Amino acid sequence: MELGGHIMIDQNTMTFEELITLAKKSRDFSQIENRVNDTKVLISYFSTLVNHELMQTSFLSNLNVKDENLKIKSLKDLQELLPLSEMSITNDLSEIENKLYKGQLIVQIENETSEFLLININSCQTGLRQFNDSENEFSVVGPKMGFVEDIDTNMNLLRRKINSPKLVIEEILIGSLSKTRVMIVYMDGITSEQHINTVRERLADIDIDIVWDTSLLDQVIRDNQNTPFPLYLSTERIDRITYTIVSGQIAIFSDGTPYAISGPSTLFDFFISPEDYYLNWVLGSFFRFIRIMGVFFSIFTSSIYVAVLTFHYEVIPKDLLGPLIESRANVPFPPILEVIFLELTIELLREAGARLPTKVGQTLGIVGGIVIGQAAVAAALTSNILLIIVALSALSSFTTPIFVMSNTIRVLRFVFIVLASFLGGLGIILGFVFLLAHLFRLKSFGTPYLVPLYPFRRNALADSFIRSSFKFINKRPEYLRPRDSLKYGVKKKKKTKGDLNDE
Amino acid sequence: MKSIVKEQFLVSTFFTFYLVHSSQIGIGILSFQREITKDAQQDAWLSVIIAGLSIHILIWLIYQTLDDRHNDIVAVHDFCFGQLIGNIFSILVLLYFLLSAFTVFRTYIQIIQVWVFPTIKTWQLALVLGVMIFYIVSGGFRILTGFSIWGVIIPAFLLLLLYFPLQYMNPRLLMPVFNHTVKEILLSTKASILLFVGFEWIFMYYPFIKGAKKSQKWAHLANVISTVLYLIVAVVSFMYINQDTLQHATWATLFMTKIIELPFIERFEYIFIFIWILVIIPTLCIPIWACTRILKRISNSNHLKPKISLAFFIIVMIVAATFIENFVEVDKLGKFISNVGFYFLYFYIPFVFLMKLFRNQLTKMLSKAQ
Amino acid sequence: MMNSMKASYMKSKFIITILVSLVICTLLSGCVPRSIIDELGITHTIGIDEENGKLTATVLYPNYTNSNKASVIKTAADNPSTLKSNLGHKSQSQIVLGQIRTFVLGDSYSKAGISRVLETICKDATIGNITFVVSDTKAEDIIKGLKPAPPLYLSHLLETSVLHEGTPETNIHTLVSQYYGSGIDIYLPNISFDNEKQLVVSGLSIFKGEKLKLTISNKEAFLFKLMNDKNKSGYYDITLPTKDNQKGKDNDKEQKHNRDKKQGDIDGKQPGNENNFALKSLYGKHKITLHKKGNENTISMNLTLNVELKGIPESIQIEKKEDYQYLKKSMEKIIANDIETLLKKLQQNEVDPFGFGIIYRSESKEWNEKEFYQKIYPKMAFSVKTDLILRQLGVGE
Repeated sequence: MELGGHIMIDQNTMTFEELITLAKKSRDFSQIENRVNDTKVLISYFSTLVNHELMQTSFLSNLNVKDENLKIKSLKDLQELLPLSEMSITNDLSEIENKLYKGQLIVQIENETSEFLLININSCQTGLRQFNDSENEFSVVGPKMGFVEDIDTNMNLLRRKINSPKLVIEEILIGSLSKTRVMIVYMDGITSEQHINTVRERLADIDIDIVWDTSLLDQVIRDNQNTPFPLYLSTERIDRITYTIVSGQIAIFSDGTPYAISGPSTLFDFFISPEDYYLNWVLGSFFRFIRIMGVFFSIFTSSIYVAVLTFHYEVIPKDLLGPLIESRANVPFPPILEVIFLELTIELLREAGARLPTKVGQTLGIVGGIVIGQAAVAAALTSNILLIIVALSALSSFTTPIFVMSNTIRVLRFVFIVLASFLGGLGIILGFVFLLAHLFRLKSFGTPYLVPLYPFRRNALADSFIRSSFKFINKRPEYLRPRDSLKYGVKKKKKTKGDLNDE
Repeated sequence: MKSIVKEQFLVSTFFTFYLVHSSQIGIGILSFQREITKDAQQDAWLSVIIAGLSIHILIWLIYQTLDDRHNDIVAVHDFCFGQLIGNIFSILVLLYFLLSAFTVFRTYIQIIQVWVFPTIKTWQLALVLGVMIFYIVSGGFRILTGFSIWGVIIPAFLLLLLYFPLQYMNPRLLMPVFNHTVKEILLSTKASILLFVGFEWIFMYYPFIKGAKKSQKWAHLANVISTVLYLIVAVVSFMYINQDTLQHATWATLFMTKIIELPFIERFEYIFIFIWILVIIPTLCIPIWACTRILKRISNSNHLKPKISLAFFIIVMIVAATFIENFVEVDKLGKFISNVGFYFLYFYIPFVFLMKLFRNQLTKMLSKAQ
Repeated sequence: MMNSMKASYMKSKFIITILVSLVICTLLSGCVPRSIIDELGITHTIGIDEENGKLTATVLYPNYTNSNKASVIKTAADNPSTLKSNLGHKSQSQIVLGQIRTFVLGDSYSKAGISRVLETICKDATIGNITFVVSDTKAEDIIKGLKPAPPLYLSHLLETSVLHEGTPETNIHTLVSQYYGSGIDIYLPNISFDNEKQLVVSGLSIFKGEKLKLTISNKEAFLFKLMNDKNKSGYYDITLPTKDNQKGKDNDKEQKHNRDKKQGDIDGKQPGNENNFALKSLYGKHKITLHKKGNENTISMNLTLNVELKGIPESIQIEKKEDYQYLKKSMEKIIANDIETLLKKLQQNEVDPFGFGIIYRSESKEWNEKEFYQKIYPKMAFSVKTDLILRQLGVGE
């Protein structure tokens, strides 16, 4: 039977010999024989996957028993001999195959071929980094730790943060070729059963060959395939994921990537930065507000420039008229071409800058940014007012803390610019209507994307546009349907000062 | 034959307020002053109040007509008149809704053609708006309620904008008060009914409201707020523009926005016209949605998918819009819908109510006889 | 089977969506004509004249791109709309009216009747909030005189005098209300050239219907503004009548002056009038009411004004109570008299810029515009009361 392009031998007919024959085709498979007091033991393993140090010290050395009278009659005796923790005896060939390819040893006693002992001494730490400074989601204050590529380390970090028996980690293997370990993390008793079931079902339904990253899982299980908006929060910071888990969302981790995704999420989750919580609520709200303003500015300014200069000259205030006309005086292109030219230049700069080697990057950044800009204006290819507008809007598209959202904003900008060049201000507002209608339809794990704005949920507003003080955000948001909605209690402050006249 | 809607598609009760209010505020508020002052002149604000109050009675009638077992007008028609005649009535109601939507459609295109882009062709704008309506309505009723929130928020901002005309207001233009006959005031009331048309679409979206019976108070509140809004705009218009100028200004509200001076925008009326699209979307999309739903409910076959009938209605509107070419015909269209609306509201709604009452009695008598 | 059918349906739906969007984009890209800002001839000032039985328009066409080399274009036509296209024939870029700020109406044209231009302009949707002015001479001369000035000179000139120097405010709203409205007449600022060829705002032009009837001076225009607009700031100069006891003082002063004269002094009086000083009006309230007694109609105007005195004559000592009262009463009387004179002048010329017609209409059962202006308005009596509050006297003693 065919399964994802990989022909699998029917379980019942495959024998151990066939397994070994297939494995022997690779150079890194080895089989050694050892003796334990006259009993021959055959050990099969992949030398690239096992931890040789552990094998030497804990396994092979213990096979040289001092006691000459010890006879190994069955695998159980061998198991008692060895001081290793993860051992299992089995004859299920699919499990043996799985575990062999994950770096476990297969031990068989020479006269027994029906049962096998599997010992886990894999070296999963090779080639992986030990720490992650989360440079992509930088915050000035607060912990900067991020997840790494090894899932066990990640679970370690997670359990250290959420030190509670309610934290449940379920594992599921996804990927017919990669057999990646994917973890579903949630708080038992807090997260809604419905959401957990949805996640479990969707993940179980996946049919894919290799899971590169959780973003792959995101794209396969998401509710709506054709939207540019990210439907699940994706981050590599520990504090962010723990915040979402504790609020009642479900996080999905995958082996081999530091990024985890969590859902159900709303549009406002993508504008929250951990710094908002490490600063006072007044400052946090202010910066969050600036971020949202930055997003609007980024999406609409270039298109407003195109619309006003191409169709609606009457709207320009009289003092701005002079500078605008002067700046466009020698530009040969209509505003739409000017804007597209500049926007594409900035996109090129960004793409190239992402791939430049660090040493060259800085110099070229200065060259690209400043010199090209200046030269473009001097050569009268663009106007200097437009240069400022496009540069500022490119900058403000990066104010969103989550990278995937800033990509969406950049793409949306182009759509609005094109619409503005067709129908002017009417095009912009029509685009806005389309955008709204699209956002209203989106759902993330069944929860509407624009909650708490629509459907209006008053109690979730405290943490969306502004970050209210911790007194007000002690309840979990209702749209996540948590089973226990109180995070912590709010104590009334003891009045130390009486009235005006006391002090 | 009641209409069953799944639980997850229902909207909360208080949303009735947004739905009804945004259905009423639409294109009428931009040009109503000229119509209502034809007879009552500066006393027309009184006509607005009277019209608003009479709508409350009609809302009450609607809520009496619809109930749990007959929760939309197709079911009521079925119950009162039987299948065949009931379907004919439903189709007439469908045509009326389609006509309402079409009037808003053509009038908005007219406004864009006059104020913003004089050379744009009707069919081009109609096509673009048609695509937009298709995308919005095909998302279902929940998206329409989302847009109806905008239909409430933006007119509230309009009240703020009234600060600018108030700088030039002259209260003497409202005087002398009450120097018109009752007949003139009533004629103006008839002209102002067009302002309040829109609440009757509740006939079709009643099943979509959670706890629909209890939503009556929200509908009444919505009507009160609409009346207050119209009243304020009318009074400010009368204080700002004198009666003779008003007869020459077709779009008086837009004329009032010409005086707005902001430091960074010269001509606020462009921004105003563009933002006003968000307010007319509910008045445009809800009736079309109601039409597709009537068609779906009448025909039991699954071939007539709502999306196809939606596309059909939109194409009909686009083609019809191109036939109404000039300003005079748009005016005539407006007057026609105003008349039809008046008769629908004041004759048809009580008629349906009485028929249902009568039929209820009949059923009771028949069951007693058995 | 259903799955594959559904898949092909989804695929074809996707293709249809893409096709439809492409078609729409192609159709839309040509539908709205562009008016790219630097390819337009944006004008800020237009003048209309009447010459040899034809309408002429002169347009000041500032050139933003080449360091203020403005140009003036003039054409003639029989109706206002053809004027615009004729103007277009003479310029390199399309002339657009969207950014026009000021409209200058020539003297002879105003006297002949401005209704045609008003009707055309007021119905045009691209026109914003423009100010109309009447010029003492031909509009053409004004426009030509504006050529060396920066692009928005005229509109700034008008704005400043409305805000600070006592010209009544006019804009498109007041103009349209006054033109269509019955019971009020049009008034517009008047500009002219003074002796040094400098452009100056010189009073108010008042129309009867659509024809220019009367022009009042800056001083009278300020009085008009005090009774009409909310913004009452401006300067008014007052000449106090000489008091009796002042005459003796004056003789003493002159003798002193003669005694102190030394050799070589030139004998001369100080320039200006010593009893003439300025009143700066800060803010205030006005109220106009109509009293009807049988067939007699009296308009009573009450003005409360907060003023600041700038330079009172030396003969008045403000700390003395009687001097203070004398000053206050005289100023009030002078202003009230001046206003009454102005009102009588307006009445004699049969113009009504204050809108007494509207006031009368608001308090009477029936209204007939013709009857009002023929029978009632000429017989109206006026009574003016002013109340000045001296707020400040300036820094110093």
